[in-house]
Amino acid sequence: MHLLLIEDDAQAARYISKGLRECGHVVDEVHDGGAGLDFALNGEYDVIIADRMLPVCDGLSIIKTLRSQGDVTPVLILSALGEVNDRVDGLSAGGDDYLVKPYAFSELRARIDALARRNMANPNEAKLKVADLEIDLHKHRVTRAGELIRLQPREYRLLEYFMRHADQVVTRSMLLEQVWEFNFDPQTNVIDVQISRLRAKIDKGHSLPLLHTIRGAGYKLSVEEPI
Amino acid sequence: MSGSDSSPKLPRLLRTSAIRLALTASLLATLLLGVSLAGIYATVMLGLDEEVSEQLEQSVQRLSEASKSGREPVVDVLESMSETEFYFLLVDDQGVSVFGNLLIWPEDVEPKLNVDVRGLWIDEDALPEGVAEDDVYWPGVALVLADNSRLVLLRPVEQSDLLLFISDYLIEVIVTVIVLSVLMGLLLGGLVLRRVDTIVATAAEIVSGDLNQRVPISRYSDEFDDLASHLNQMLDRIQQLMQGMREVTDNVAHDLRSPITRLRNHLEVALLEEGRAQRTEADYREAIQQAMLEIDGVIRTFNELLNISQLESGEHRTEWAIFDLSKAVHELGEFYEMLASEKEQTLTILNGQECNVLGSKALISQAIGNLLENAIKYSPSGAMIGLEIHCSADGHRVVVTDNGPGIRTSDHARVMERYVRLDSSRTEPGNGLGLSLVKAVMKLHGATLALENRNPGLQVSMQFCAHRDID
Repeated sequence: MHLLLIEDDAQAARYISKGLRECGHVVDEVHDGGAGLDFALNGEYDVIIADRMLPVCDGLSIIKTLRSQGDVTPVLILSALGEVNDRVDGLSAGGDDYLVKPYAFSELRARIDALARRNMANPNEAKLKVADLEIDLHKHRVTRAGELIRLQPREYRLLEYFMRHADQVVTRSMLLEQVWEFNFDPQTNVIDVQISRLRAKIDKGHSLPLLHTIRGAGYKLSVEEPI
Repeated sequence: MSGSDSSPKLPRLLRTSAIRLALTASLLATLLLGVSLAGIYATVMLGLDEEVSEQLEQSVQRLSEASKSGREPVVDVLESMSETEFYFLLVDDQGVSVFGNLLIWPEDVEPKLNVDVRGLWIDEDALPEGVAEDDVYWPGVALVLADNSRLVLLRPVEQSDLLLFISDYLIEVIVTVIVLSVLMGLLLGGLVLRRVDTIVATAAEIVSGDLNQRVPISRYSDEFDDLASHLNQMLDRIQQLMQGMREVTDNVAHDLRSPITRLRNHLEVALLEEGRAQRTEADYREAIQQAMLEIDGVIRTFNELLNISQLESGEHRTEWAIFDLSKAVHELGEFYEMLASEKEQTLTILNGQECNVLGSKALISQAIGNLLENAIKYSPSGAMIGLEIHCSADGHRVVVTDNGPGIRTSDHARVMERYVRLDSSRTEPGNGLGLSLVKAVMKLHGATLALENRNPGLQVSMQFCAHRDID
């Protein structure tokens, strides 16, 4: 993917872009808002990652300018401001996702992948399929190797989210926000419990496990065993 | 003020707004006084002139009338006038006095036939004894009669005492007014300055570090007291915020020092030259992963501390909305049900009808979540955990119950403080911030939190206002 990183902390920007490059992305890195807006307007990017506080032109203004020009490139806002209403501000300015510092690189990476995928996803699909696991979105039916799996409504939503983000790392906070619509971090491993319950339903009795735990990052629904 | 400050006090006094005000007011008053006095003077003088000229005109009429019948009747008329305020002199065509109470013909007076009233200043020589020319204004007329004799007729006007006073003392009056107003300004300025000085002195002490100082409030409850009480309220708030900041700093230092030290040691040991030969790549990976877990813990604690202090400082209100508390409770119950069943506990949700609350859904959910997590964490397996919501017009109550070990009544207040972890819970993971966050969220929403023993177990109740009651 072609990414634009606008971050005024040069050292942080270097680490992030190094990491993203190692993940196979092409990254343009700029350190102030003016240059950021310039690059964003003139380049073709899959995802733009913009710090909120920037010299010359702040992150939200960049997004507003882009949106006013009809540019719908997904933008992920990085912010040191932690309050919930800052998040609301960021999203209502036209940002697509919001990540508060300090954040984990794995979280950033997972959210970039999700944003890029969202841009490509077709919401009108009738079926989602990963290996022999299938969801019929119209009938709300889940089958594995043709065998019907009964899921609770919440488990169904969880699986649907994994299927839509197949082969991507999905973090715990992404699941909380998207599946449960909770905007807080539980102290306990309640998400892990939910996942292992889902895993028991879809992977039990099958030789090929699909739902994997990625240590220190989150989970991934994939045919391939993670490294 | 202390003695050392008294020398610059006078110039300061002169700079006060009170004295500026007093001076401006006196200047305006003086101007007004001057204008009105001048007006009065002019009006009075014009009126007098008119009256006198009318009298003169009438007399001239009578005299001209009489002169047609010879000199005798003129003298008769003049004689009758000598009892009045008129001064006059009749001379024949040779310039010899015939009749009159003026001694000599006034200099520079040319007789003319027409009536001409003018302010003349008559020489003292021309006046009879006892009449002073000072302070007297002499409008008059001079005319030539039918037999070529000449007559000068004057009607003196004494300027009134008031007018004299005005013209003589105008300057003195103005000066007095100005001096008095300067004195009044100084007095007022001094009074105002004294009030301002107390505020300035308090501010100076606060600047120098004593945030406990407050502006004294006098017994007048005037605008200065109003200002002072507002300043004091502001100072209270600032002090409260500073206190919060200090606590956060202390807490961060307290809570983050040990994990950071651990982290540092861990990484250092992983890189020690001495054991380098024996270490494999897997060892390094392990060390790095351990370090990341440690950092995650640090970040989590850091975020929670920040969160609590932001809550306590009362920021945060912009994302408030009305939401269905009953639905939120139900979702949370569902979410934690599995966690409970993992410990073979039963979580029962007793749901009420829809009930609206104004507040932050995220924060209230987090608070209820913390209570549920505590109940699940500290109750043994097989325990019964209850989550109930009761809605009514008077308010809504969310209750979390368990039949676990409970908390001694004497410890109820203490567990809500930051970092307090009772000895019995030290073995469980956690940072002791859970209940203090709940307390902060409740306080922000004007809700109350109550702990009760159930013997066995604990009951935690959150009492919310129905949404119309807030704000």
